[in-house]
Amino acid sequence: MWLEILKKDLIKQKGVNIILFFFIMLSTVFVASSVSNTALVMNGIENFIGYANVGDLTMALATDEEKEALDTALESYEGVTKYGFEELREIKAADITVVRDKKTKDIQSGGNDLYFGYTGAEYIKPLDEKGDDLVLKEGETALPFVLMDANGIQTGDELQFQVNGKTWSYTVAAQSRDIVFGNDMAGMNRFLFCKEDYDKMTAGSGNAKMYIYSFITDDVDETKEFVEGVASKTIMTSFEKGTFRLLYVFDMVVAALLIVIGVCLILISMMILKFSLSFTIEDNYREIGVMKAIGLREFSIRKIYFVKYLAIVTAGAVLGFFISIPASAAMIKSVSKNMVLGEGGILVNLVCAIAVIVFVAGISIFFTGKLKKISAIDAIRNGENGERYRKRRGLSLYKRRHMNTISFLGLNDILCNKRRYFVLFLTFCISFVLITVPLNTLTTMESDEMAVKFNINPDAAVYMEKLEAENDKNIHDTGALQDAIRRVEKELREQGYEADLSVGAVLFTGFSTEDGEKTFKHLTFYPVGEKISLPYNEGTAPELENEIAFSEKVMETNGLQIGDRVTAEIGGEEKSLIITGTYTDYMQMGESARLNPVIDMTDELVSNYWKTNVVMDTELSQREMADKLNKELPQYEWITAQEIVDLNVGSVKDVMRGMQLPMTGMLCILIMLIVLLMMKLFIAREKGQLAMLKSIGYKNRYIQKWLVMRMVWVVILSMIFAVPLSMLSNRFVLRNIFAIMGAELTIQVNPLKAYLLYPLVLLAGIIAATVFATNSVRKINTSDMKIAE
Amino acid sequence: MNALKVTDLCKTYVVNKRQNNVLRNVSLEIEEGEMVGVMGPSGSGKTTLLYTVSGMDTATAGTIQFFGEEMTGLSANQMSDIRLKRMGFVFQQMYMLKNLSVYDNIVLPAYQSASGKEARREINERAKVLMAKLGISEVADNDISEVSGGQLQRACIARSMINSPKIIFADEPTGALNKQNSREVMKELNKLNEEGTTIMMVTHDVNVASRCERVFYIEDGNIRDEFQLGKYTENQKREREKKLNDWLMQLGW
Repeated sequence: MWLEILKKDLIKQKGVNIILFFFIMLSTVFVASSVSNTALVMNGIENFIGYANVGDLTMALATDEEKEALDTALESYEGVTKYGFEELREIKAADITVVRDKKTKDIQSGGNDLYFGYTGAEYIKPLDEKGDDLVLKEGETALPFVLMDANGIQTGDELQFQVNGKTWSYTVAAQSRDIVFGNDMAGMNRFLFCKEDYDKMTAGSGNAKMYIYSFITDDVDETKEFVEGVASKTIMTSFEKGTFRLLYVFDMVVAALLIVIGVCLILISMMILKFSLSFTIEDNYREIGVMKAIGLREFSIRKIYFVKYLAIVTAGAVLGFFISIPASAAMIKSVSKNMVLGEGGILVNLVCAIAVIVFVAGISIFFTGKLKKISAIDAIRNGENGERYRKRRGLSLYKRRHMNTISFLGLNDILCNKRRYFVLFLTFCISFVLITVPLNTLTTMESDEMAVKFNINPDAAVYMEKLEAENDKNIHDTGALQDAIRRVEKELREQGYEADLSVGAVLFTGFSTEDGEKTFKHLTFYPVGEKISLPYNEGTAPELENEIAFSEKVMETNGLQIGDRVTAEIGGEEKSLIITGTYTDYMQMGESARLNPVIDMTDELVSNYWKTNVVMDTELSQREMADKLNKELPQYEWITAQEIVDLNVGSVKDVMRGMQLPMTGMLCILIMLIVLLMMKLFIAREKGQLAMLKSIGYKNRYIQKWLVMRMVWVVILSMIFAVPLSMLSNRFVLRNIFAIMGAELTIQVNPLKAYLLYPLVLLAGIIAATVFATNSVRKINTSDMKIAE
Repeated sequence: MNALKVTDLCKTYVVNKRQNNVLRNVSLEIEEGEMVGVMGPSGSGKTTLLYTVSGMDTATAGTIQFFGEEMTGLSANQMSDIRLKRMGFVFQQMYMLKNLSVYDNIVLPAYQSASGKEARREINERAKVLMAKLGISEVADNDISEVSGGQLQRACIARSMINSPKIIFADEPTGALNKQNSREVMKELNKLNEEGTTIMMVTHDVNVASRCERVFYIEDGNIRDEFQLGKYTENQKREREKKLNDWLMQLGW
């Protein structure tokens, strides 16, 4: 008999079973591929750090001024087990050209600082595509994926470098995997050569030097303090080993998002499973009761359903596992080009698929527990036992005189079967919230709020990437920066633009607390030119000569408060400064300082400078202005605030944008499938009642309207509840993701898109699926009343 | 005038490629205001006849005239309109929407066919009168699971009457009821008939059938015979039952 039940159930619930199979398959694909990718990226980061031989502490010296002193001091310093350094030379993008088919093209740096370096260093080693040490012959060069991709460079292309008035030609031999100089977030890229070529090219060159020191040490803090003490003027920045992981954190954000989607799909599958089981069991009350009456044990009966769901789940998970393998590969494609990833992803996929089977099978055992409640007497009473005394909790039609019958019936059904519709409500809510996640992330990334966190004035008419004129050397002091600003202002005036320029000079300043207990060195902004208005979380911007502001992270790490004094080493002198305000931004992972604009910086070395704000009255948008100025003054690179944000957040935004439409489409299809499934279940269950309505004269379209109305009520309620839920997800999920990079910001929402346009797309999908499902009402005859429950 | 005129009605089902002729050239006429019963052995085609002549099921062949209007060939929507406004149905099982109260179930078809505050007020008035007549006023706000079978069947009758139909089709209206409830329900149907409603009823119960004016006997999909009992009066109850019983015995019932 139980085989008969199983056969009947598989045929009768064909649609439901297929949809359940589909969901399990999809859940497995998402969970397996995203978990495997996360594991792969996490392992990949560790492998990469290991293969590249990253020291416990990495520090950068801006010039060779203090290098000799540092090397001497390190010889007798016992806090370091081993150390090594390598030299890099700065080069301007304008000095590099790509030659292909006898045509030359300037290289686009994408806003990153460019350097050239050599292979064979002991630390921060560049690797080849297999993860081995990169080896280059004379006449060969290698560069990271980010530069190759942005410039369409392929191996075999020729690159020309202008160094010291001479042109050097090299063939691109490989793509380098460079842990720091190949990452978008680091903002620095390097071209690599063999040591001989590097020495030849740089001999007598005026290109600024930079040194990267790597230390193997047991006490990172003490070593850091020691090095900063010796080379206080030229130390630019320092990174502990763990900081390298943060460079790749965004590669995991997308994978994490996919895990969330996978988990949501499993939850949805569980709901479907629960419904499918409940409905099947209710359909088979009589058979189950008879089986009990003739003495079959409960376990034997449960086995029938368990076997069925185990078969569906296993089939779905197996197919999902196979699909997840190419899906993982596609998802990891962009990451794998930048990193050295390990093996073993398929094993993780397999474990995930097995976990899905175990989990869902376990859930089906749990849900079949309902069988315990069915007694033998239920067979005689055909499952009506128990329902007879349950109070209905619906509405009264005659009391709702202004409501039409269809709307009433829809709403009343929901109120009478709250649990049933709550599941749908929850599914819709999750979907609406899921849809807002990438949308709000993108809106935030494209907002002024985000631009401000990159220390630019969002109201500027346009921005400049570099201030140097064509044949100028890179600027490394504030005087030259002032001159450059004045020169560009003049050139703009000649073109008819009255513009005020402002720029943040970037230097690495050593600080110590008033009691001298803590010393620290951080990226410091020194405003040059017109005043830059940047927001502060607490306090005010530093204005007087003895004022400074620190980011909240710096304040917290060093136990500082507004009003405290710190000593800064500026221009070889110690200056006491008072803290006037705190802020958060994305510079240097949220650890920076902002100096007042009036302090004397004549003798201070400027490491670099940030984007230049060009403020003027114009009707043009930033994009239009940038395009116009790029034509009128092509010697400079004119960009928009959005481009600055894009350059700094790397490919995440593109990935998010790329995901947005497919994700909306996928969610829409999923929701439609769920609706289709639920409607099928509802209609099968309510067949008798629908037939009865037909018998008393209800037309098909009225019955369909009623069923659609029921769904519309649930969707509308879900849409309303999804708004606060989405706000909560902004506050507690998205905000924290953005905070990983170092700054707190308010998640920006485009209400029209997030709360109307996109939900309307889902709503349309839901209604379409409901209408489609309700077409089966036409096939119900009045004679189907015999099947009524 | 004929409320219903059926000519050469055939209904055939094909199950597993085997043709099953349930109704074979059935012809009958029911006068307006008449109360007729259909009896016959199990599987003879009683219920199929009821469902087919009422348009609930489609005929394979033949014609059905409903108050002079040809019913075969009407669209599903036209049939729905007829069922909503001009026909009433009472089933053996008390089919009702379980999410509605007794009262809401009764007024549902009327609310569907009329709109506006005034129309709804009238419907409520009519429902109250009907419920009072059928003795179920006190269970109006109850759930359908909270009332007895007899009360529920009377609620079904009230629902079938709410749009003042010209004819009521009843399929074993007392089949699921005990003796006392059966008596109550039949009393109500007789009352409705006295007020002018035509009733066509399928039953296997002699007591119930004896309340009809005329009884058809159907066998193997054909009307084998009919028996004229005349208008029902309570004092002739036993005599009618006996006459009907004798007739049925002759037919081999």
